[in-house]
Amino acid sequence: MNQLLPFKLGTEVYALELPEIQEVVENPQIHDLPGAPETLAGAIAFHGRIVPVVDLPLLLGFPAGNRFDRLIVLSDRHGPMALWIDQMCPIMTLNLSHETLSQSSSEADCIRGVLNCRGEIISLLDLDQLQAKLEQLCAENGG
Amino acid sequence: MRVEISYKFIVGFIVVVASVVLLNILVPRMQIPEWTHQWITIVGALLVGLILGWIFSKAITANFGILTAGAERLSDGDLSRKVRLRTGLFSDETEDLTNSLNQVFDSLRNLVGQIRNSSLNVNQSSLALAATAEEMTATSHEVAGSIEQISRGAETQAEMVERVSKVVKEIALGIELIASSADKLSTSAEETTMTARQGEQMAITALDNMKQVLGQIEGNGQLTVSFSEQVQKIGTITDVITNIAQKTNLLALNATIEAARAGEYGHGFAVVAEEVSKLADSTSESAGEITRLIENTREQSHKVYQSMLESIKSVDAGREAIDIAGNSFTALIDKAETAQLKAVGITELTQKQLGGAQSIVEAIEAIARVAEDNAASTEEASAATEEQSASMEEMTFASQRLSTLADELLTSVSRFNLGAEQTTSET
Amino acid sequence: MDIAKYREMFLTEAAEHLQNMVSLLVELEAAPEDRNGIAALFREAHSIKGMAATMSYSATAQLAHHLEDQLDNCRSLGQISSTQIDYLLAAVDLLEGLLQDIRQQLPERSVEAFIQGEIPHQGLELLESVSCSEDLDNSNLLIHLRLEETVAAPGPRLLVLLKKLEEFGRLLETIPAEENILQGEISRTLEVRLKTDLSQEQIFTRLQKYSELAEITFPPEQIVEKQRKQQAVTTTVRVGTDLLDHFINLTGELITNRYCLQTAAAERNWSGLNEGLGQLARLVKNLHHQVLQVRMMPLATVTDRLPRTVRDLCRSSGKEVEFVVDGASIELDRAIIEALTDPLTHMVRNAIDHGIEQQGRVRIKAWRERDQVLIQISDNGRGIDPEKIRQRALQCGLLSPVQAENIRDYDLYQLICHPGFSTVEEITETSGRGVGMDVVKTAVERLGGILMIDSVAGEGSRMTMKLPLSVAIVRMLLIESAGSLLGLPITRVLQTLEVSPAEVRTSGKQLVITLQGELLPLLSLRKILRQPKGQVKKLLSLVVTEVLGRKIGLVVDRLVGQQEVFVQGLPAPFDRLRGNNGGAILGDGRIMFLLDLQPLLEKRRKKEA
Repeated sequence: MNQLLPFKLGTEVYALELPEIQEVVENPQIHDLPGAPETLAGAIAFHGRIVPVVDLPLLLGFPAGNRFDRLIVLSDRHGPMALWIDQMCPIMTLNLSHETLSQSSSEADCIRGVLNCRGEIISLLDLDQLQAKLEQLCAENGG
Repeated sequence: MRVEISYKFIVGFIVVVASVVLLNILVPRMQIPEWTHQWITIVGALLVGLILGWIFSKAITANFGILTAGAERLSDGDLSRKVRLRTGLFSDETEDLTNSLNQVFDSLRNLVGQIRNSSLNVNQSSLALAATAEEMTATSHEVAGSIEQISRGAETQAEMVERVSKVVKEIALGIELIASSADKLSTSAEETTMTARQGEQMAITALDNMKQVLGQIEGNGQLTVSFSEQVQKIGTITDVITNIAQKTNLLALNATIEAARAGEYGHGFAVVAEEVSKLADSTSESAGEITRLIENTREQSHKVYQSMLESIKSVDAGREAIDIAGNSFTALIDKAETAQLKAVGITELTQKQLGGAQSIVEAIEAIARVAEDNAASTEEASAATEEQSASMEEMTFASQRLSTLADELLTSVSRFNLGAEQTTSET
Repeated sequence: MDIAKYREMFLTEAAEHLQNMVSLLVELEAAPEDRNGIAALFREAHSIKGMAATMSYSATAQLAHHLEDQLDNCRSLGQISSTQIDYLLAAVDLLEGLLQDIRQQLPERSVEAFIQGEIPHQGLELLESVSCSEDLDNSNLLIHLRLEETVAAPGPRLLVLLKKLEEFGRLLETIPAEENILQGEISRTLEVRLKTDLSQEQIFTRLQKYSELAEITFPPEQIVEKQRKQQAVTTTVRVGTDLLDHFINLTGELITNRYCLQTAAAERNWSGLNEGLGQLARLVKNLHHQVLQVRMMPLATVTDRLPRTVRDLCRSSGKEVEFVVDGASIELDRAIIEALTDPLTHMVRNAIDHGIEQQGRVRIKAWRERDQVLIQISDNGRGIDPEKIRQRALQCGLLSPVQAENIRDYDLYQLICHPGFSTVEEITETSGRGVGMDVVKTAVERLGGILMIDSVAGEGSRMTMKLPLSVAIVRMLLIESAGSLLGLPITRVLQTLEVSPAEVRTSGKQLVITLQGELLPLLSLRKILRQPKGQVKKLLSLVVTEVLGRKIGLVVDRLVGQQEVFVQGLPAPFDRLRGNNGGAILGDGRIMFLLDLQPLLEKRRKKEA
């Protein structure tokens, strides 16, 4: 059984597996980093470390809107990094192998799988691709 | 050497005699016939006598001639030259005569010179005097003119004084009228004051009644307000509870995440976390219900409060009205008293003014008198000026005559010719 | 997990042993009959063998054993010859290569060939791979080629392409490898790592001629991986037990202090609370100091490697160079030590390559002056010829003729740190590419230090690095720009001042002010960071600093103040961004980013150019 944390980006629902997440932080102060691309909203001070904040909807091409007041801080393996999302949904527990619709991965959207859960389409976020995309963006922008 | 004429004669005679003697002496000595001795002696004596006599008489005649010439000159008026005798060895009375004549010349010259100077001075002075006299005449004319003006002015002044005097009298009358009206005013003000005081009393009584009613209503209002506040407090606490529930939710979420990362070992923990989450949710729900209830209650109490406010408002309005009435009575009383005071003030003022008017009248009369005096004095002055004017003219006339006299004098002395010295003394 | 831990230990210890061996070998070259030296060598090799055997690293153990035999021979002979030393050094290099394999969790490379008597490639190359920052510059290109789908016979075509690419430079790596293609592997894509002097554009133009190529790309370097792995090199540190005792004591005191604070808070005892906080401040400061001590490493960590390099260079160039190190015991922050490795190596190489003609001495001297460390590399060789530099600068267009006349020698020498500048006609393996000195200068400045170059023609050159004692805790000047907090190390700040807008004049297109008789160009920080324009203010806040060799006045919104902060490196993907090379979290929770002006201005210059 796997546990997922789903969240909304625009009208679509994405999700991350719990092991990929370290913590959810509320109302953090996001400090702007001058010279950074727009998709990098800034950085927060998290347990004494500087953690970059990614405007996830913006990065994946969703329209700019009101972001939620909570950030998903990713675990060390993918981090440090925090994701800013539109809306958070309650944790769901399900069996990934059963419910998976397709294992296809879409690079552009950073999706590594799609689920159909009780009628809802949930896309699993691919963090490695996300990171790669970010690095590319920064290299283009800054390099 | 000075030898008087008589001495000269004597000497001459002596000489003749001497010569006769001498001849008498000499001739015999000479080799000439004796008969001629007398003849030589007489001839000699005669010769000597003739010669001497000729010399002497020539000299004297010459001198006398000069003297005569000098005297003639003098009578002609030529004072330019002195008489000068021919220098001779022996000076005699003719010299004295010359000196005296010269002295006459000198004195006459001086005198004429002086007369000339003086007459010139006199001329000048008389001219100056004439000029001054003219000026003075002119000035005195002016003065006369001014005096006339003053005189006229004084007349006008007197007129004006009369007019002012009339006006002041009228003012005085007016003031008396005012004084009487002020009195009337004072009386009516007193009456008004009394009436107003009565009204005020009534207003105060009414106001007290109103206040009582209002107090009661306000008391009710306060109760409602405190009730409302209590409800508000409940609301705040509910918010806190909701907040806590939210935070608990977040905590539960993070706990679940940690549990997931701990893998197998976190399983029990995950269960607990979920229970906590559920608890938080139900707390949230209950808090939500409470909030809704609070909302309802708040609405109700709000309505009650509103009607309270309305009542209060109307009572307030009533109180305001009474206040206004009361205020107006007070204002009225104030005004009446003020009016009274003012009336008294006015009366006093008018008295003062009357007094003042009197003083003015007196002053004006004094002025009038002064003006009259003025007029009289100016007339005198005018007369005096005229006299002065007349005497001025006389003076002018007199100076003119003087001048004329001086001129005549000058003319008469002009006959005298002073020569070179003349010119210098004239300048 | 256990294996990983032991591996780390093994690697650290083995590295130490190898380092000792290298030092011993170099010493033995000067004194070949030192029995004790040889015996020590033997012991080192023995230790390595033992450890490797325990960890079942067979190849390593084998090689170490082989070394033992050799050294045993020498021990009995009582002396060790030059050629033997060469051989042994090569062996040590191979061992280092093996250690690298182990570190990267690759299978150990083969040692058979070596043991059989073949001496592998020159030690220099391997040394390069250990400190491969030089490789990570422009000369190393990653090319990705893709053939058209419809093209026939992809194999031969790829071979042709490979041959072509070989003309451009040296093929370091190809995927698929040449042998594989020959053996029949079919692939339409070819990825090549090429060491070349040509630029991307040049290669692109030349490859474009091949119509069968559908795609020619230069994917960005996966330097991330390499850097990450590089940073994983020294993750362990030795800590003295007395230091640990200190820590234990401090922790005890901290716990006591915590109880005091809790009690005081509960009783609302404010004075007690204040006292407790005061104590806490003292304890934290102490702790901080001690932790920093842990980070300190002696300079010898770096300089001990250098005799080997000097020796190899001498051998290859035939020169005789005496190498002296003074003050190697001086302790510096680890980060600084790590950052110094390459610059020092490079400067020593430069000194030997270009400074010393036939014979000479290279001396490294390190000493401490108040809160700074000075490291000086001096040689008594040719010295730097100012005329040559002047000529070259004029050629490259770095100076106008007027500037060239008036420039002081001191500034002239600084020009050799300009990227691409080199007065050397031939490019040797090791230096002359004109890349090294600017890397050195950048590294020094990145650490918050200054590089000073001094030279007397005919008598030698002297390069002095002035470094702060610690990199982690830096005193920063905090400045504000468009709401963001930025910081500049105080050591880079020459002056701060406020001027009224009336004092600003224009010189050409540049806004300048007159400061101490010089014209100081002004740059707006907002503009550089591409932030929106700010309000016009009555007073302009200026920070005078030196960037790219020039003094500039940076116009900022507000000078916030000075603070000592603990600088962290920025995590990915921030580290790819130019303009910030670190950040710090201030006491009130705000984040301050470290401003790195050089790349920002370079980028701007490129844009303008």
